[in-house]
Amino acid sequence: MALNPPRRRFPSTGRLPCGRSVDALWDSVVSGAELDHHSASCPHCQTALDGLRALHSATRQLVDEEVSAPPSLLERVMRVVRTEARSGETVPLVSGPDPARISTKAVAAVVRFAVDTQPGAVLRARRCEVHAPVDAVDVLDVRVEVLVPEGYRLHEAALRQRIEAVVSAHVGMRLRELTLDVVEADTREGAT
Amino acid sequence: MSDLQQEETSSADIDDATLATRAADGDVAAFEMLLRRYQDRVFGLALRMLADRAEAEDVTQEVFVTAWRRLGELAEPAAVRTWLFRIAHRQCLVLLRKRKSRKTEPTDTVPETAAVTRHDPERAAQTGAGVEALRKALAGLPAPQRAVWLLAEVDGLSYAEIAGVVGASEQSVRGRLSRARAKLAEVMRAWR
Repeated sequence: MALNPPRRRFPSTGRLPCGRSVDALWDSVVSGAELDHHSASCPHCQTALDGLRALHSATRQLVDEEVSAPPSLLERVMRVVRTEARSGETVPLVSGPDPARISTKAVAAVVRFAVDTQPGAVLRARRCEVHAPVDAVDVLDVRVEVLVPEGYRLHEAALRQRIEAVVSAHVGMRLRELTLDVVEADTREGAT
Repeated sequence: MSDLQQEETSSADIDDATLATRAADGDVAAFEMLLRRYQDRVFGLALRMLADRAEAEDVTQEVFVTAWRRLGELAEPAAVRTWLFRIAHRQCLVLLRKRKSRKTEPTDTVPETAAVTRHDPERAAQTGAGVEALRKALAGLPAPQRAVWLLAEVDGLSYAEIAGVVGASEQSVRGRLSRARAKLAEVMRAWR
């Protein structure tokens, strides 16, 4: 006579009537490990394994699917971002009867470019503050955080020279104070 | 397409923490790189949580606009990936709660989460039925269990990371995952 199958084959306690845990069976399905003597012949385990194997195979297919955000999404988000970024601080670029101003974010972008493209090292500029001193004209104070590879000895003078040269060439202003906050990369920080 | 690919290659070596710090500083280009890097993953999670393309698109847009405005509050820039998942998870639950209160939960219809492309169309045609069964089974799970299962199995997050995303203890994450797996296996076994 056939046994009456229990209504729920996967009880919420996570244990099968035979005492085995569903999680342990799942691990064996994922790892492909050979079943022990009990599970190989136990009907409860076999029933559970059927479901877990079907789940495992369907899960692999689900994971393999490429899901792409709609192409229009990027532009919609960036429109909001650009609008909100525009209303930033500015510093005087040219003084006199016809003054012009430049946004501090634009100057910061030039500083970051100078750091990122410093020859001979993989440096990354992070936080960057740009201020125009109130008591001087045509000069800027800049503070920038520089990420250096672990164990790397930064040649600070060369980096300063480069930042000053790039800002002078692209913005047309001298730096009065340039503060470098050097941070050593933590190798635990992954890129993705 | 070639422009987009080129941009991706050039930004591929800039780590998350650097991009997040720059974006928090108002760097629009850095934020766009983060958006390009994570929009598909955030959209994928929302799509599988909500089983509705239009809603998933809205949530993804909201996630990144929120991220842009609140990046300054992110204490650990290296954790920007899980932080984005956290915002997405919260928005999905809010949306599901609203849906429930409107009593229009479309759990009986086939969930609209089919991916746009698959790696191997032939294999997908043969075995796609298993994935469809899994999608239905997922739609039948309580949202907190579905979220934990997706974050673990599809996005490959650790227990600790998932705990941070959903705001629960690691122990409760393990419990939810285990219950989700048992229920899914039960449905998948019946389907087979």
